[in-house]
Amino acid sequence: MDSEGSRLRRSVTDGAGEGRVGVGRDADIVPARAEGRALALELGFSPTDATLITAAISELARNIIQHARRGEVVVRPESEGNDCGVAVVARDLGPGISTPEVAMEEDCGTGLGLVGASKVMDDFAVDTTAGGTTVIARKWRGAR
Amino acid sequence: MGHADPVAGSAVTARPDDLKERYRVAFLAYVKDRVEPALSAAYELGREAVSRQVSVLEVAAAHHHALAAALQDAADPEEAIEAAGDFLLESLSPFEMARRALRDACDSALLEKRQATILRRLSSFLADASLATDGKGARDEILQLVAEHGREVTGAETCVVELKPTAGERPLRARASERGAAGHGDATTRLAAALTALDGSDLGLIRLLDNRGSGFSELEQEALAQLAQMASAALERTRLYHA
Repeated sequence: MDSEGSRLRRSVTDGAGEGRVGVGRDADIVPARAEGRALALELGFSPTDATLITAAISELARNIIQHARRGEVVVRPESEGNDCGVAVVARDLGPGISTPEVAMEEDCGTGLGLVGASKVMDDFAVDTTAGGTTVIARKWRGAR
Repeated sequence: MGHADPVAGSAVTARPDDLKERYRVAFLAYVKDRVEPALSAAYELGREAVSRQVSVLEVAAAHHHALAAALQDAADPEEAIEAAGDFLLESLSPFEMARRALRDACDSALLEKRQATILRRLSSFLADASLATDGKGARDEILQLVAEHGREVTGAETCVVELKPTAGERPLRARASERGAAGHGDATTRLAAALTALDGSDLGLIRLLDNRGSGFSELEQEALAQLAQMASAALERTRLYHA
């Protein structure tokens, strides 16, 4: 896992743009997925990888609903060198998960949840503070 | 488990044991209207199957059943087949997620087992070394054993063990490296653990040097901490034995 600033990257400001979806109930997962899928396909990800990004968004949004009830999912394009990727930022508005480690251990039984999302993305970082939890997950087009 | 799909949601929450029928209803909804809510229903069906430990073969059978039903009434079979591809990817993606998690868990378990074997072997060697007749010789041997096993247990390119000087003696140092005698000043990845006596005083340091981009894993960090504890105990045992 890395922190958001640990690798040199910049947001892509031309072409594909950022999508932001408020998440407070199960039905909100669908537009978040739609934003992620559209961006991934627009950036040239294969349908298979676009599906995995969408799956990760489902799990991250579900995690917000289960642990914090309200939050948002932001999907945005990023670039690094000659590669480009999709960043998914899932931010809840607290109280959030008390310890990400415990939440991830709970997910280990099925391989879904935060654990599952971390396995289908290339970078995955969880930051929990008193104000809530922010998960940043990225998938790079040329990574695998 | 919740579902996100107002279109095919009834299919998801219907009789929980009738995967085949719910899959068929959700798939036909997607063939009719290829939108995200309908694809989300496919994901939820696959997710539920993983959670309930339903075999992926059951999902494959349900998919075949649904596609056959769609093709019976399809005005455009090619479009139904294309939709089937999208739908299958979605319903299987939770299985792929779980497969990767299982693969990583297996890799970690194997690595832990290997580390435990190496550390057990080192423990036995250290017990013999700390009882050598010559105190300095015992410390030299302990440092070399720790350096070699430190490199092996973490896969680091180089492991250096340094012991602070005691009264009247020079500092001791041992090194194990796949680079032979060549230095490792260009190491980009470093990890260290302190060697500490029973009274908390500083005995020395174990350092790992490497050029891996990903850094040392949690398991490797834990192994180094355990190695440092074992080395500290062996050095203390030697000190007491030769006091």
